[in-house]
Amino acid sequence: MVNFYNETVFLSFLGGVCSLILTVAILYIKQSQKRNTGKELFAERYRNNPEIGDIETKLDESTEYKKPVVSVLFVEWGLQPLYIIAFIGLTNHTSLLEIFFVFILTVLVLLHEFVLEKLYSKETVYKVFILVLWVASYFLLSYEANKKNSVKQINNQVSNNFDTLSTQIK
Amino acid sequence: MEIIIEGNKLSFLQHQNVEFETFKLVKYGNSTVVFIGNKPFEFDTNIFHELCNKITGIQPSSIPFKLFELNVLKNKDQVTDFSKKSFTELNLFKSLFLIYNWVTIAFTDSYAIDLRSKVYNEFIVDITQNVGRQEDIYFLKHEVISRSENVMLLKHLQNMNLLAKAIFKDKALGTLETYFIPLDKPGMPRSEFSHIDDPTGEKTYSLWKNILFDRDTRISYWLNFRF
Repeated sequence: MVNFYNETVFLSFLGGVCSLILTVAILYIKQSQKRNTGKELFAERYRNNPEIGDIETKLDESTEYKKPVVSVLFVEWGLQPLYIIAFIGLTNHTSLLEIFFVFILTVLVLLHEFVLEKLYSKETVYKVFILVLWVASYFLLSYEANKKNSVKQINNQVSNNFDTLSTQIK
Repeated sequence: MEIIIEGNKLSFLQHQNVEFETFKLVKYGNSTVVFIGNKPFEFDTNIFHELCNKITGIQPSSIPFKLFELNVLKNKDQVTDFSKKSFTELNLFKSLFLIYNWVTIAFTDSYAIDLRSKVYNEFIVDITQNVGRQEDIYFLKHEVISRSENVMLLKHLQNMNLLAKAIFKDKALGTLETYFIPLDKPGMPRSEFSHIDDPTGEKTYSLWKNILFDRDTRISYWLNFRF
């Protein structure tokens, strides 16, 4: 059975998720504050004039006071921590598969920042895609790390056996 | 040259019916006349340009006083008459001057600047000279306006005060029509979008969302790249 738990990889992913949560929380709070200021501004501008209509809709339709959506924020900022994790993974345990993965991720980050983020970050399919990417990369990285470790262990065992043998011969 | 702005002067949310008002700016040689409906206001060239500069960024409710200051409205009665106009109407009046300021170079130097590049997918900021929110006018993309299935939907958006129409006429340049999002649009609930041509309101609503997306893209592009 393949073991998918590796402490280093797990910790780096935990760090990545925490940093993502922190970023999203900060952005959410900032945007909410901005929205409240916008509400006050509109209220002052219209002073009970009924022509304002539905103030929540008006705020959502403005360029700057949109309601922050947590899932959209997660998707918009979700790729960069993953990129860092994958890149750090390269330094610990390099394999061809991982280099290929990081290369694809580089292209994806560029595409995401320039095009996809604006067009699709509200779409459910894109959200699921980012989530799947995280999960898949966790399994990939921990699998590669364990493989490397098991090879290391075998090497260690062999060298240990060799040492004991050589001492016995002496 | 002529600039005509047409919009629903009543608030659709309050009255639910439509009464279009046209604001027309006619400029021949030295004389400038602004028509509100059929009522003409004649301007001296200097006063007209002063008003163009002074009207940007002020609250719509203080427009009548600004006009009184510049002696366009002669007495108190005219001022009170003018201030009875709704917010929507005053904003349309104000946007006439903003649009004039924005497009005038295309009329005076039509070889250098094409009018089309000024009135499609562009925006004008109503600069207040103060820190804070600056309102804007956004001109729709040419593709959105020229599509034949959008004609009725755009008309309905215009009825709801969400859009206004601008027409530019000139001897040399011909006639050009465009729609724009006015300075202060009301927050329109989703339920108001249904009408005779589109009973569920689905098409109109998605068109409106597309227009807003275009505007956000255009403005954020400017914010990021200053171009």
